[in-house]
Amino acid sequence: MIAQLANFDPITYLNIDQASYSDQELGQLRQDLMAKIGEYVLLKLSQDFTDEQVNYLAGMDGQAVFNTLQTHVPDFENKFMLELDNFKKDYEVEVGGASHV
Amino acid sequence: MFEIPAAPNPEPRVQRFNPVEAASNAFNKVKERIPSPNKIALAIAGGLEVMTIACSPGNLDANYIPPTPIAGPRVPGAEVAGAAATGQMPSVIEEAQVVKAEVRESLRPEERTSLKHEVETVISTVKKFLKPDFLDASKINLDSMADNLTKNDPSLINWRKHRNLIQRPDGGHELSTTLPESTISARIIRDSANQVELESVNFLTDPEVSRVLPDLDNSHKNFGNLTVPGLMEIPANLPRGLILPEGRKPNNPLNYNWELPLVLNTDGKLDMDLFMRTMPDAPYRTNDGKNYRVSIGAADNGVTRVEVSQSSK
Repeated sequence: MIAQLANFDPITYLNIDQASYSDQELGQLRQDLMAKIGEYVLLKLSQDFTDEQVNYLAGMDGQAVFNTLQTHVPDFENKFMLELDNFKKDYEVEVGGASHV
Repeated sequence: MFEIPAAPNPEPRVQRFNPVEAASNAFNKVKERIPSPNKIALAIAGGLEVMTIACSPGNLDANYIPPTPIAGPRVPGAEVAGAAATGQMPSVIEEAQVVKAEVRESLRPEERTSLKHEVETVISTVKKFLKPDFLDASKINLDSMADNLTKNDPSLINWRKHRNLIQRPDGGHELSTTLPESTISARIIRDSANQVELESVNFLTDPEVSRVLPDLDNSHKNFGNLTVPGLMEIPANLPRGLILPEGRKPNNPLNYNWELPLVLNTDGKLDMDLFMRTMPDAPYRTNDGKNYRVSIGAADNGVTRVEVSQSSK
């Protein structure tokens, strides 16, 4: 776990207005956003990895991948948080072209 | 010549804002900058779980006491893991691999009682929460689940609140719970009538816990695929596939539990002797098409040697 991410809620983090969603939709939205954020962060974190390192990680489950990154990537938590912030910036660029309803 | 001015565009339609689409677009932009199929596949396969784990409060339980390290010297594998992370990973080893680990042979009586209690509690917890509502991810409150457990039984203050619930593409779910000494994962399927059915439950435990399992009552045999792994340390570049590695030691990627066949005696209890004798006859094929053989050496001064080697068969 990353201490700064305790109680992390992607909907709150991305300033998404919850009013137009039902509870069920919010649950699904939360999960979908977590997946997209995770994909983004993991891809960015892997950009400097060699193919062999990627193959090494690909044989693991998520817990093992996280543990391995946490153990071997220098300054892992700050990098993770930086990429999370980068995601938010990229996300907001995308949102800029859409209309909020 | 002159040009006829184009008709003005109609009023743009107001599109409903879709946060997931915006998030997908952000990810797609990164894909264009990092056009590596393997990295993209890794991100898609592990993104949700890694993100969930990063936000999971389990590992910081103030009362969490790390499990006792397994006795015996470590095999020279840590260097391989370090090299893997720093880009110095050697090419896949073609020669046969022989890796040794040592497992503790026996437990003190008080250790057996404690571990047996924890295993039984986890089993009952899995049973209790295998309800349709539990499979609705939006209704899961993992913290309260763990808190209720510890409130009802103060001896479980070491409970690690880590849980994973993963929805599979086929609509089923996989749930895993982790104790300091063991991991239990459950494959859950839901049929068209919204009934929950347990597909299998796997126990991935330290050898110490495995030795407690024979004491559990017969009802637990109904859980299906009970797998009791040996603790092994394998080189980082040993191909994996059907071997199903399970990360167990948070800070040591070399420690895995390998799923091994269940062997029950006529009472439905784990027959450890038969289990040990059967293992060497079961080569494990990995997704690189190679076979690996697991063998158990004779106990020596309370230590059982576990060997993993590449098989020619």
